[in-house]
Amino acid sequence: MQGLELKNLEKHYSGNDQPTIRRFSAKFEPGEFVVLVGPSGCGKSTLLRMIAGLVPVSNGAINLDGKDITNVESNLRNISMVFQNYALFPHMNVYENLAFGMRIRKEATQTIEKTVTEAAKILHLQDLLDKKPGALSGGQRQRVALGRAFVRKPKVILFDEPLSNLDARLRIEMRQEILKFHEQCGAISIYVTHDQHEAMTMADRMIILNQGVACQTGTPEEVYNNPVDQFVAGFVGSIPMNFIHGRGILNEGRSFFQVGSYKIDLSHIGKDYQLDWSKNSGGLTLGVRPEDIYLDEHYSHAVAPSPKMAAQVKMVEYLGDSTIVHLEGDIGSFKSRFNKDLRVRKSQKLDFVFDLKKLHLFTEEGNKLPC
Amino acid sequence: MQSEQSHSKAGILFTSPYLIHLVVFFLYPVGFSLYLVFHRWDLMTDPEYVGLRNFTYLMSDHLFWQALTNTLYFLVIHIPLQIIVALALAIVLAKPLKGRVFFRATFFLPVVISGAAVTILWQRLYSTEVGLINYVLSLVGIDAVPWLTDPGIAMPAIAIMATWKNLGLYVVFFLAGILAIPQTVYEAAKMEGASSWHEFRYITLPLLKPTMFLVVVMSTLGGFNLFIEPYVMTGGGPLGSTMSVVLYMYKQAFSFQHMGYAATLGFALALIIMVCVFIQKKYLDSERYY
Amino acid sequence: MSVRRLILYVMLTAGAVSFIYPFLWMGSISLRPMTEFQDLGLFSKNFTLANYQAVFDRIPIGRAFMNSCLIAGTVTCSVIFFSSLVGYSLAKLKFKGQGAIMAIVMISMMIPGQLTLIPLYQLIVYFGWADSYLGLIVPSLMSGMGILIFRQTFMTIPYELMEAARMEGAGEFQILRKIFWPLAKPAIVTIGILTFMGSWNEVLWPMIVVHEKAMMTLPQMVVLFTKGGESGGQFGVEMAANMMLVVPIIISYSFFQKYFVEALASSGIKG
Ligand SMILES: Nc1ncnc2c1ncn2[C@@H]1O[C@H](COP(=O)(O)OP(=O)(O)OP(=O)(O)O)[C@@H](O)[C@H]1O
Ligand SMILES: [Mg+2]
Repeated sequence: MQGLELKNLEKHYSGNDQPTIRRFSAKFEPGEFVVLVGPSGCGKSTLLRMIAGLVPVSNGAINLDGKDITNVESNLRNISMVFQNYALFPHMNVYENLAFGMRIRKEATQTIEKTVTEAAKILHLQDLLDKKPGALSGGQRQRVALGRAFVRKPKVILFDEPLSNLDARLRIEMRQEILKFHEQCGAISIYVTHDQHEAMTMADRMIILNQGVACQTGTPEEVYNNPVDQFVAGFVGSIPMNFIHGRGILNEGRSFFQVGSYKIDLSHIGKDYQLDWSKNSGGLTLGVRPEDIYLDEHYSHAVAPSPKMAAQVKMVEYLGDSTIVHLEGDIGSFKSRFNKDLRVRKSQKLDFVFDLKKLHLFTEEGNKLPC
Repeated sequence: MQSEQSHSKAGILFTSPYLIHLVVFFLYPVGFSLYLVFHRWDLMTDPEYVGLRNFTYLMSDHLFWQALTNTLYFLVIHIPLQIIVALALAIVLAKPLKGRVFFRATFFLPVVISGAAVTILWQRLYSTEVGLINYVLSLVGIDAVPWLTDPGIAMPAIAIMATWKNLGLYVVFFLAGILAIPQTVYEAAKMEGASSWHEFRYITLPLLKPTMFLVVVMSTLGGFNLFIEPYVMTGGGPLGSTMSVVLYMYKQAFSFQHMGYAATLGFALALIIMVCVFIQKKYLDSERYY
Repeated sequence: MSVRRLILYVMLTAGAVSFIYPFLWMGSISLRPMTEFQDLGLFSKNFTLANYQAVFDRIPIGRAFMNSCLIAGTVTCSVIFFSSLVGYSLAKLKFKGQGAIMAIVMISMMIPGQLTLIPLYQLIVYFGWADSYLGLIVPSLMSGMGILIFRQTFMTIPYELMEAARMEGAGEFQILRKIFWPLAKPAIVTIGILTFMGSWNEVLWPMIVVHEKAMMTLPQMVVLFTKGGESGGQFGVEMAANMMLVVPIIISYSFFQKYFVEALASSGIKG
């Protein structure tokens, strides 16, 4: 089988009670760009380091192109890594940084020169070869780090938050460069980031990791529109999904979501839930993304508007391209995202509707109910 | 990979030369000193077990007690002198004066020079008839001082020389301590109406406590290490007034071949040093705020 | 204000003179004929190298100088090399017994050298190393302080640099040699200066293990020369010998003053 396959990987650091990575399985096709996201400390770096061979695997196997590399030395794996702080050798110039691995492997000077020149050309580093990393800008250092990964001609490139040290504008520029670089290498790229935009825009596929467990794998659209559970729903999206905590009730054979006096008929959501709400105390969480909440007068945008609900404006964040409005109503507080042309004032009272087709329902355990 | 395995391999490989050296040239001597303490040995014949005799002799050996008293006398003069002069110089050199670097470098010069060389030089400077020091004193009308020949003066003379030799190092320590205190603390004090004296008394001095501790400990270790100074200048005299413990130990070992007793002296001295440093740590060490 | 400042300068200058003048005077006396030994000034019309000639005639001081260079040089290289190995292991590797080694380093530094002096001498005699370079060099080949300084420096070097190198196939020693040594140059200079100076200036140990003239170190020989009567009590000759002990250090100090000050200041951590 071509590609990278992780089978039931586990990592248990000695000294920790809980394993850091639990039964992690995934397959990566050649040429794929996979983004790994998850909250801080969930084990993303650990996973990359296991793949890289920097951290021994406690359990499970890693196969690359059908070969078991679980116990192969890091340098024999055909895998490169781009570190968050670039990990350039500060006392060597760019040329020596790129040549480092080949020098360790005692390759011929001509080979080294040829390979470095090629990498420098691809990454536009020709004029920087004599400089030390300290004399480079953040973006240039990043390109050197990419170059160092490139000269190995790896099958897999691992990126551990490579852009997090750059300023916002440069980050957007480098995203494109990295994607271009990814295409030129033709390798599998596994990319860790904290940045939602980065994850959504770059990924062919996303893997969401929580406490060492892969919660969901899918294209950015799938993950955004059909999160498998409340964690993924809350984690993906630059403005988190609103969660409204209420109860499910059964009324004359029909299921309703109720919070205070506000009620939504769940049969409108698409499915008739013939569930016995009384069983598990009936707790139910409604998830709705800020952009799926509409002002009553604009309800025509919503395909299937919910009943109206009143709320008061607590705060307005004007972002330029859109406006985030913090609201407080009978159902609790929530945020909504509006078109930039909409003008609302603090303390204003307004009526809102949800788009029923875009609602998500979660049980008390955070599991998703089918919609 | 298996980095844990390769770590152990490298760790063992990298540390084993040190550990072997440590066992042979540190642990074994420590153990052997414990053995010698209970033996009489002249290097030629086999060691003879004498029980606690070395210790009982030590307790009643007035030369040892004199050497110890001499060392304490040295420290009582050396430490306060050292601290006052070094602190004063450091305070002056902390100001943005022209030539700071030159002065600091000058005061530091004797620090890098071998104690033997300094001692040989100072022996001449201390010369009663033709010495530079007595000459300078005569300019201000002070009579010639018999620096190294008067039992009451010889030890203070050595303490003054030691201060001269080490001063630069302690100036650097104090200077680093002073420069680490943020300027804003002084500005805040000024706004409360503090005078220069107040600033020194209530800010600089308390915040320099860790440096003080360092200076006291290092001076103490230096004092107990006194050897070449009395060896060259006075040979321990006059009347044993500059005999140091290390010099006494050296004589016991190499003039009289009393190896067991010399080892006992070294053992006792090491113990005394550790107790002293421990007491100083207990009463003088304090938190570092900056 | 400016009067105060003037007073400060006068006092500082007086202090500085008292630190420099003795050395200048020593230099001057070493260059003057015996008859002028009572002169406390610096200049004379009769400067001569006769005193130095006398030193070279009476004792093998050139040999002593070479001995000192050889001993201090070997000890310094060894301390830098081995301390960096141990410092690297303690700072960047993980292995069983690491904590114990760290504890041992600390203990070995806490125990005063006076304790081991006599037994160490006997060990050297037992090995047959008295009056030999081995006896002078081998006991000082390692240094706990060097280990601590390297450990501290290495701890500040990020793990990612090691990992990047490891992924390229560098072994632990290659990582140390190609990455840690170049990045720890200031620590190497510090340890180098401290060790070299310590070894160069040491007199007690050579006086214990060496009695043969050919094996003596420079300070030991100079002490013996002035103490032991070979100088014939002649100031000028004594000072000439002493100059040979002092001048190499003063020359290096004047070139690398900053490094000397930093190195010795950092020795404070051992307290
Ligand atoms: N060498 C180690 N020894 C013990 N525990 C470790 C080690 N490295 C990481 N951990 C633990 O494993 C967990 C996951 O760490 P990891 O660095 O993989 O998280 P991460 O997802 O990369 O976080 P971040 O987003 O902050 O970079 C953390 O709880 C961390 O404390
Ligand atoms: Mg991480």
